Amino acid sequence: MRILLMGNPNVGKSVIFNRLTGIKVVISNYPGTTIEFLEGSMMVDGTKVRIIDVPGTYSLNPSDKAEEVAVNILMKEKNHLIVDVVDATSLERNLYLTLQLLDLPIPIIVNLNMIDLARERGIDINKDALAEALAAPVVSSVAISGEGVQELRGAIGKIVKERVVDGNTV
Amino acid sequence: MEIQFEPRVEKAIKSIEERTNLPRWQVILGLEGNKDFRKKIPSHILKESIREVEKDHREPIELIMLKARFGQAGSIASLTQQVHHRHPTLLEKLGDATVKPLTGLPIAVGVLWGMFNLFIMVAGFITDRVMVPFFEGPYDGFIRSVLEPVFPTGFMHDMLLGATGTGYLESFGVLTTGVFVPIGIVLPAVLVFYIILTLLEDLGYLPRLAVLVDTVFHRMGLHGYSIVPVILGFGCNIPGVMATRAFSTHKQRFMMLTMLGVSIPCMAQTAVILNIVGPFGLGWVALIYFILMSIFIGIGVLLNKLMRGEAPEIAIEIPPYRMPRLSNLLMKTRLRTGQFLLEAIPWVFVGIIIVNVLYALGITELMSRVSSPLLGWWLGLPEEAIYPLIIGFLRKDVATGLLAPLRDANVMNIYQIVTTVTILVIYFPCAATFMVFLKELGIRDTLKSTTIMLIFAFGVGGLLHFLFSFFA
Repeated sequence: MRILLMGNPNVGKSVIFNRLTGIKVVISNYPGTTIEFLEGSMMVDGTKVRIIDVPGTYSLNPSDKAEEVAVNILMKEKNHLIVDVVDATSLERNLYLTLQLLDLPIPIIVNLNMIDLARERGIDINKDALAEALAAPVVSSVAISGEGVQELRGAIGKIVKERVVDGNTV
Repeated sequence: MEIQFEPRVEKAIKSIEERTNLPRWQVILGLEGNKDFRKKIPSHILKESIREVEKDHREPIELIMLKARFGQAGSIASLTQQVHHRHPTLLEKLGDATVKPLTGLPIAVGVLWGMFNLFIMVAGFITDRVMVPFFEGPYDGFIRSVLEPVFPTGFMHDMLLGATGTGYLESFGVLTTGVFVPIGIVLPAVLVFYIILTLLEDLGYLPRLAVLVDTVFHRMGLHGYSIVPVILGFGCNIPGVMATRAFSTHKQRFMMLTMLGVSIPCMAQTAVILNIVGPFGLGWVALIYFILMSIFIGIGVLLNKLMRGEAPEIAIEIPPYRMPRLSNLLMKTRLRTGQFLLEAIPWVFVGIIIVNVLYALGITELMSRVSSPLLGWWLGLPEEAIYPLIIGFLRKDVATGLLAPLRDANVMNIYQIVTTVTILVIYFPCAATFMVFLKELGIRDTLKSTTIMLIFAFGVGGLLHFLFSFFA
């Protein structure tokens, strides 16, 4: 079972990765901090799943080397789930990649991150309406403080359970 | 989930799906312009299928798809989010002030100058007041009490504990200079630098700096974002090199890597500059930085003219300012400092062992005799200067230990010291960075880049010799 953490640059993928796997990674406040992918693992209901922190990308048509790395990880190997990390403060721009990912034959969880900053800026996002429009589960979080990470684990666990039968991924 | 495009686009997708048997998602990616998937669609099928829709829209299919996606994203966003009006916060106002040239430039100069002073002060304090007393006191007593009974004299004694009667910087034992240089001198610099860097990074200042310096970098065919690899390069060139992966063309990457290697001194090189040249006064240090900056711009302008290739614009996001978190600061500083120690110490040990072995075999003497005509005639340096220059290929900080005695014994005067240190900083990054160059650029371009470095190092060295002999 292989899970990809994807999303635009500087949305907090590495923070989520660190929260889920406990692996320490360099996190900064500028786009393009992660230029190579990192792999870690987490236990979900007794199943060990691999998690990959993919460099940020704005679209699936790569325009630089880091984005190329991202798209290659997505295309060259079998993946079972994408956690699409979305910056809640700029939903519209982030949804471009989300929509591209939704077309792929891989299940996806949308993770609205930095929801605290969005609230501070007066942005209210209706999670249920978004989940309905995208036909995908939506989980909000503040990765840096850990808020919502438990819920994200739960959402990942649900999909892992559906896909893992007798220890084999289907 | 399947997202529907407008009917004519859907028709094109369906027609390609039927004629090629590719799944819908692959056809869409191909139409959106992903090269790998575009290749899967035979070009005549592609042309026939998109002719109609391109004609109607008078736009290439990639653009039609792009607009369609943004249309979808926009309508979903407006359906699911509500934006209320509110006043900008203090951090947001500060965010604007640091990007606008009128207020931003003075702030940038102030921030960088302040940080540089803080860096010199704190790093210097740790080295002089903490590290030197520790190494020359309790540490020295301990290793001598353990090792001197075993190796009272001879090659192993000198290899481990260095020459007797010299300080920790210049004795050249694996356990004296080999431990003192990376931990006593370079580590404090690295530590303080990374704390400052992390604060600026986590706050979100670097992309704003990128906006301010954008015009200058565009003169060199580079983008303002180049400030990120440059600033990372001041710590260690390796992360700087890696950060250029965000550049969109090979030309820009080659240029930036060469400029980093030649003229951005990493912390090990900074330690050499400060420790060897610093005692003569900050003016001499400033001169070296001025030379490096001129070379940086010179190479940029030159390569931009000589190399073919585009320098396209890229858009970068300016994230909002965020308060740095102590936990992240500690974690990142530990991670980066650990990486430095892991990378530096083995090379320093190797360098010191090589120096000892070459010295014991008498090869150093041979080398200096062979190279002395070039050194003397072209650079005006004594033959001993060849040792730091050669060991500098491995690691710059080891060269500090070789230069210090030459300076203290008045074998070299200040002009010769400045020339040597300048060459040392320019001519070759270090063995570890060289490996990363190979990995990122390949052999051919690494050789090209190295050639440029050598030309500049000895060109500038010769020029300095000429100028110094003229004025001094």
